[in-house]
Amino acid sequence: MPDGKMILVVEDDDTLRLLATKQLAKLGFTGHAAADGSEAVAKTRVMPYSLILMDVQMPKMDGLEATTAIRKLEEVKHDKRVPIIAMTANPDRERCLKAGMDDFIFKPVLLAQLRDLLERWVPDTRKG
Amino acid sequence: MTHMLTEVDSDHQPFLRSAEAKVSNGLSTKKIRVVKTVNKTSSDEVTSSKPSNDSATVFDTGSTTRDLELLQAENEELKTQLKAQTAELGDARAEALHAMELKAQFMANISHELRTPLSGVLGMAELLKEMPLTSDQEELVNYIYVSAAGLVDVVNSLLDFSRLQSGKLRIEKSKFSVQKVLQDIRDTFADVAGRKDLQLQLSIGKDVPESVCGDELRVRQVLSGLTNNAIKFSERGTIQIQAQLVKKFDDMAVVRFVVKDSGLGIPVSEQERIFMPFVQVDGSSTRRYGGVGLGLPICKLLVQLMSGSMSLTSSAGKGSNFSFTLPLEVSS
Repeated sequence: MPDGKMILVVEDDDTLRLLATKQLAKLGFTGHAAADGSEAVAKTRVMPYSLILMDVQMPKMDGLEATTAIRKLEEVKHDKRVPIIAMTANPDRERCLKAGMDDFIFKPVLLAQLRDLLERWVPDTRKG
Repeated sequence: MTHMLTEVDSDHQPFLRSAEAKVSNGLSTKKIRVVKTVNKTSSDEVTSSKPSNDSATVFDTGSTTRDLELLQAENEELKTQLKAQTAELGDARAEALHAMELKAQFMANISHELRTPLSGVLGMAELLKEMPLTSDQEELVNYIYVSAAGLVDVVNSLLDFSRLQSGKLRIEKSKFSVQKVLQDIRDTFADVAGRKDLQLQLSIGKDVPESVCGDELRVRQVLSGLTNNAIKFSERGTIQIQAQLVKKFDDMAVVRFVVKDSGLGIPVSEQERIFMPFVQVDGSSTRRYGGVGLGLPICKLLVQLMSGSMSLTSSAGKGSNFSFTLPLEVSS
């Protein structure tokens, strides 16, 4: 797996999870999927992702909680801070930032927006 | 809390006045009854409910303590009633506020629930468009895409309007370039305008600061809304999109944004109304132009939220000139 190409998609809706991974593939990235916050936290423990696309409203553990948990883990393990991008239908900027997220992308997410976002946050990779 | 109580009180002044009127009517009726006991007048006079002018004199000459007690008792009863009704009104107000809050919450939830499947339709259609397709298939996929995108716009408008109404929409400031925003607007709308034989012309005053601080997303949204309207209601000619410097203080610039079209124009009588929600100049069932009627109200509310003001000059058949001024911090 080439460095800087692995993105974690955290999304509870099956269709949107599939969509995001397909969009990432189209842009030359590999998307791993997690269906809720706790799955996301578990995956970040074992995989060094270059970026996380995080839905906010999810069952079991929501995106805000998951972000806080991932940030705590990074602190304990002295890991590099992975960019966490809220991918949400209802923007609540303050709560997202407070939880430790870095940026936002609003649903519906289209290829162009996703491309811009990845160029901004994963700058050392060449797409395609 | 105190503030709310004061509000309730002042809100219901008319009610208090009508209650006072009831009390004084009660007094008058009493006075007539006094007439009855003292003077043993004929039944004709008694049934007259009209307060007589000389009732005060009647009072002086022959009121009994019993009548006064009755009066006081009735007064007390009315006061209690008044108190109860005022409390009821307070409750009704609280309920109304709660209902408004629920409505906003409902809009947020519905929007979320609509946006999730819509994101699926739109995103998948976009991916499908990029695949090798026959021209028939391509045409159909395009229709799916455009329809879904239209629906997303409607949902966005409803949510924005609801958030603006409930004061939940916040202004977020960041550095941006006025020039870049205007160029992007032109690029975004060039195709749609071209399809209608319309030209988009940009003009940006040389003294407009290159880098400012404000809510870029909302400035874009207002300009897009106005440009979209200009294209929608014009058939040919030029649409001018402008930015001019109005005033500049040390680190503040007041910039006027203009979207001027050569379209239908808006009769003076309608110019105030079109900024009201769910209104179109032609609201009939045979109207030619679709839309929820939230575009301009949202633009106006957003401009106000950014401490600016929106204005319109237009006359029927002569095109419209929408403009708004915004105070923007100049960033170095």
